[in-house]
Amino acid sequence: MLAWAEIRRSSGRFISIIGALSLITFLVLTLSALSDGLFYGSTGAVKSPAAQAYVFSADAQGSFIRSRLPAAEVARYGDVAGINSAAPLGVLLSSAEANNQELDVAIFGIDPDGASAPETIVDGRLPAQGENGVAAIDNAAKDVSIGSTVTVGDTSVEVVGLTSGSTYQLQPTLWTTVPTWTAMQESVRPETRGLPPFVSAIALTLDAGTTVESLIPLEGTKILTDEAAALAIPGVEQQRSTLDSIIYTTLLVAALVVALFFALIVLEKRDLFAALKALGTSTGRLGNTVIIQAVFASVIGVILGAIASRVLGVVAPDDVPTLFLTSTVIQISIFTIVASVLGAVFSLRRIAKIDPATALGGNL
Amino acid sequence: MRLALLEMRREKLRFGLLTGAVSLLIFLVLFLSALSGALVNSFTGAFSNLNANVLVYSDSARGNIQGSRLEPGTVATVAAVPGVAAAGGLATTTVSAELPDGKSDLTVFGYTPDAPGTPGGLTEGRLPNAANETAADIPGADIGDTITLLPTNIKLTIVGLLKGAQFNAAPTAYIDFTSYVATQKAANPSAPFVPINAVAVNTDPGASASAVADQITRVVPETKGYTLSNAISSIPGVSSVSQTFGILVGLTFIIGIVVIGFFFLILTVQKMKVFTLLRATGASTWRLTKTVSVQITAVVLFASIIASLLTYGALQAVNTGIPVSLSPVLVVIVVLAVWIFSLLSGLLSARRIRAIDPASAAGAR
Repeated sequence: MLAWAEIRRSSGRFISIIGALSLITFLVLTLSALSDGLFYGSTGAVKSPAAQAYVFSADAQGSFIRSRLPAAEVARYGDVAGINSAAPLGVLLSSAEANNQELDVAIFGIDPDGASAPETIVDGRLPAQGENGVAAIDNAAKDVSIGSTVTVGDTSVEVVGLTSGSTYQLQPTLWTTVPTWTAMQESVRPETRGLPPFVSAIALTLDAGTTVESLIPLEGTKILTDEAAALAIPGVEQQRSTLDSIIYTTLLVAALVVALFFALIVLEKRDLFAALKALGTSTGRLGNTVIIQAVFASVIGVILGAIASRVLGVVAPDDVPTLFLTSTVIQISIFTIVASVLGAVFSLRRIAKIDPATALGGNL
Repeated sequence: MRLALLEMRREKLRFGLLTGAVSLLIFLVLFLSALSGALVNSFTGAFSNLNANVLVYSDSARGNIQGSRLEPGTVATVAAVPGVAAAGGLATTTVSAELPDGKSDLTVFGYTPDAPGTPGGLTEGRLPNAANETAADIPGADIGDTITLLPTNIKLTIVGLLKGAQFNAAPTAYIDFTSYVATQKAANPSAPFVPINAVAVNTDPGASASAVADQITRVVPETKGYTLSNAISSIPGVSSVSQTFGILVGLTFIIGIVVIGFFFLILTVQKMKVFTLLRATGASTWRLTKTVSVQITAVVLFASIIASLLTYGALQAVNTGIPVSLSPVLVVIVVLAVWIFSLLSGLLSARRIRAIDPASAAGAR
């Protein structure tokens, strides 16, 4: 009761505490959303297929763009012990034309029934097995819908399906068959004409109980987990590690600042607590008061911060991808509330030590 | 002044906590700015330091130098366009390489010596002037080190160290165009010719870069001219990355100084009773305001020193694979902004000090 009475009476002070907490929660949530947005925007296409691992040529450093494997390797990998299925994957970054507008796309040539096919179809369908001249495209491509024609070089495809969350290096992915991909590749990269059939990488699913580390790669190839393949996309690992350091530092600073905030406020109320103790209030009750107030202020702060951060996500420019993962929001909210309560608990010791006699001016 | 410092000495814990909180927030802003600046620069450094103010790509490249292919002869055509003072070919490719710190991706730029397109940001040594020499921006590399391009096994000796010259957040090496052609021929002997990726242009003094870029687009078939800043912002992903980090640093900056403001506001609001008493014993509003300002300045000063040391330490400790440094200008700007904003929030409470009726100290309403 004491807790609520004080919150009502000195609403100004609580508003400033809640304000500070909301701002800090807002900051951490927005940082995470920006970080996740950038990461999934760069790597979505690698993570949307069922593939658990990708095979690259040994000298490619895990780059889909530079990797080149003979098409026959796909079948050979299908026979390796521990591998459940192997599917071809062709990757090409190019500009394309749709509805008389140019756009940048990542063209992924896939086996529609294999491990390289995306599982995030939201509308329509993928090309059928052996059906060339059609494609599905990520819904990040604005103004392109089912029925649109997308042209790369001199090869055109009709869009028959839409996927989501499957961009590559922040460019929408055009999912088509391997022969269509080859045609597009030869049209915009003339130097690949006349080469023996090749693919960029091989998508693998593994037998239950098999790990990527336990597989022995065929000569001249290298196997990476889907996670490692995502991090090998140029710049992604640097972005990820920079953003991770930023977020962990921010979380740490936020926790400390929130804790300091509550410690400071309890400190300022020493005299008041001394008076209450002189009147017979127990340390336990004062402690409860402080903790109830901390929980109250941090819960409201977290809610306001989360709302503000969502609003920012909506108004952020198109170039700035944001992604609010529910798990991240929950983790960060709990973290902030726990940090506030810990800060308040830290000051309990001081409350316990307060000598009620000081309320009477007895400083002797 | 005496009053201010006396109080800080007596209330070590309170001011300690306050200084701690403020230094953490300043640290956060400095750390974020330094890291994100370094990241954006590792994507764009090669261009922002380039000795050129216009870049010309093939018109199908959509602003991506790696998607652009031009015949070497385009350099002469571009050089003849009015407003162009000089032009040089620029070629780039990404290869695997054996670097001092192990195997990694390496972006290689081939440039024409003594023409636009030479790299900037030389911190030590010189630019290459013979075959198999390179000037490079590679973490951990030193002059005299050798790097080996794979799979061709061509060895390059580092004769110059560059700073802020990376492209695509990867280690970057610059070699002259003749050596570049040799590396490409070794990798792909059947290629009829080695294309260049861009033409770097210096415009005539007084000519507008954007006008010359447009002129090149019009006059030279199948090309598109970009001013250097347009070329930088059209590197794939750069606008997303730089805007994301811009928002991130901006938000942290604003929230940091607002939260610091809250701290000081609480500090002074909580002391209203003491101030009332002091007013009743004859202290002027001006003197109390001065006390608050001196305390704020002292806290910000201490906090800034702690924060700068923290940031310096943290930047040494993080390993994000990109070169990071803390610019003194950044530190000064952040500290000044925090100080000014803190004073403002302190002065906000000075208004309340003025409004205090000293009589209330005597219990009168």
